Amino acid sequence: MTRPASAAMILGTAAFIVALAVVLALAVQAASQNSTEYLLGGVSVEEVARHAVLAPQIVDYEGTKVLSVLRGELMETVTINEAHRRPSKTRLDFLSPEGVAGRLVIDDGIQTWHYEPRLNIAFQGPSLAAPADLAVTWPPGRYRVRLLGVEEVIGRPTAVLSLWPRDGRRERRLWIDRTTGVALRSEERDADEGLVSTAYFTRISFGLNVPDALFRPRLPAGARLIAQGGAPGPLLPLPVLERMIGFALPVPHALPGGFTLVGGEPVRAGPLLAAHLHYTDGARTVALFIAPAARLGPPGRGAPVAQLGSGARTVVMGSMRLLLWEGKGTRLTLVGPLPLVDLVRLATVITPGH
Amino acid sequence: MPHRFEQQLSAYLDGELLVDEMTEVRLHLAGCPSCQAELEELRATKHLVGRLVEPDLSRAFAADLWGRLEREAPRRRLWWPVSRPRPAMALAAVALALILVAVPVVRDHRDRLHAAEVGPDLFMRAATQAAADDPFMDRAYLGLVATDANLRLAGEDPRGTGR
Repeated sequence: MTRPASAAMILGTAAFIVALAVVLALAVQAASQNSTEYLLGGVSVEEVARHAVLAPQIVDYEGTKVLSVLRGELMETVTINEAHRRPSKTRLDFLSPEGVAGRLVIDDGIQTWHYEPRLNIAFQGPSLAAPADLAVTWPPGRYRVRLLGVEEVIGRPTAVLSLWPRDGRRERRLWIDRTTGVALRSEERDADEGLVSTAYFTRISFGLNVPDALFRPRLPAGARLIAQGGAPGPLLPLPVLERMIGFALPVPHALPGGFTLVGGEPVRAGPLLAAHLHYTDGARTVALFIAPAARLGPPGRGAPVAQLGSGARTVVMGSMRLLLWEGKGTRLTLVGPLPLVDLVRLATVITPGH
Repeated sequence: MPHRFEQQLSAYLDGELLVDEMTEVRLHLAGCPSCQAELEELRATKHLVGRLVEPDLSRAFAADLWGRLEREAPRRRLWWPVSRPRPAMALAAVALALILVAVPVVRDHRDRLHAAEVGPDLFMRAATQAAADDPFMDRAYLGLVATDANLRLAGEDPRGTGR
């Protein structure tokens, strides 16, 4: 007689505990959401991220920025005067260290001019401005955006956001100005390599009507101009690209980490002709370059990467890393804001022999 | 002596000088015993040579000479010097063949090395272009990477330190 009663009691207790856990979880989530919304003044973290994406299109600013990037094995600190005029004009006056002092970059949203005073050389190439329609799709589904808190940066209140690709190993942290949406500080942290790059303003002025003349290049007399082509054309499907470059491109359409192929374009410099394939996870882009190995000599620099054979090398420049190796009679090069572990993982999928 | 007239004495003797030159030599001879003696020697030599008997050449000699001239004449029309030693020509031909073979090989090797050298910077430059689609990629950072790549592609050291 006692057995059924005790079984009912046990079931009832279990159901109560489960219900309590569910209620507690919901309460914690609600409290967390309320806390986030409380900290952000009733605004969701996704809205803050979208505000940050839109910021360059709605605000002018001028300030001094300090960049610290991993260059080779050393951290290099570079100071830059940065001016921005909405929607897509940017001027960078490099101040230090001595090796880059005086370097000037002017981007008018269509083209970029780079002037190097110590050599009196200017380079003209495509714009490095972000496309205008990014805010519509931001944040992409693969990214987890969290609020880490609110902090002051150079006396201004900011929301500290953490962006993680769902199965990635590198976190990006952004200190978003609450009023304007401009990122006053940013960091990239890698699970294996630690801090790979930081950028922060030491002073900034908003709401200026930054003069348009600042974004018109005026090259000094006698400057040598090297033109690198205009705006890139639309990305091509693989069969069209293969016909243009004259060799097959046996590459997968999807790579680990949610990267999918969106198209490609030819890239040429003197005797070198390569295919440039674009993979994206919705935010980050990984570039894959393929050229016939017979047309290339041995790689001249970079650290060896044993997993991909004797010719494999890697070069690091801040958050961007380059990995080159050989496979299927071709020289392959991956470039992207990924740690070496992830790039090697992509390489072994692209050339399964490795 | 030496007199500038000494070289003119033979022509004077043969009557080959212009009137003014003839007068000038004559005036000089009047006051120069050395040139008078030289002139006499020349005159005596000329007289002796004039007394030499010319041998008669046989018909066969003339025919042989004309035959040799006929045989030699076509060779002179060739564009290369047949008369040069053949080993030298062979060496020159081998050297030319080596150059013709070596130039494309060296050029290809140089192009391959150049492509390997510029490849990473060319790709880094193109990748910064693609990375511009990331709205949170710092623009100053992209500018730094792209400009460093520009300089390396132009064969320059991005920091001017030689490293």
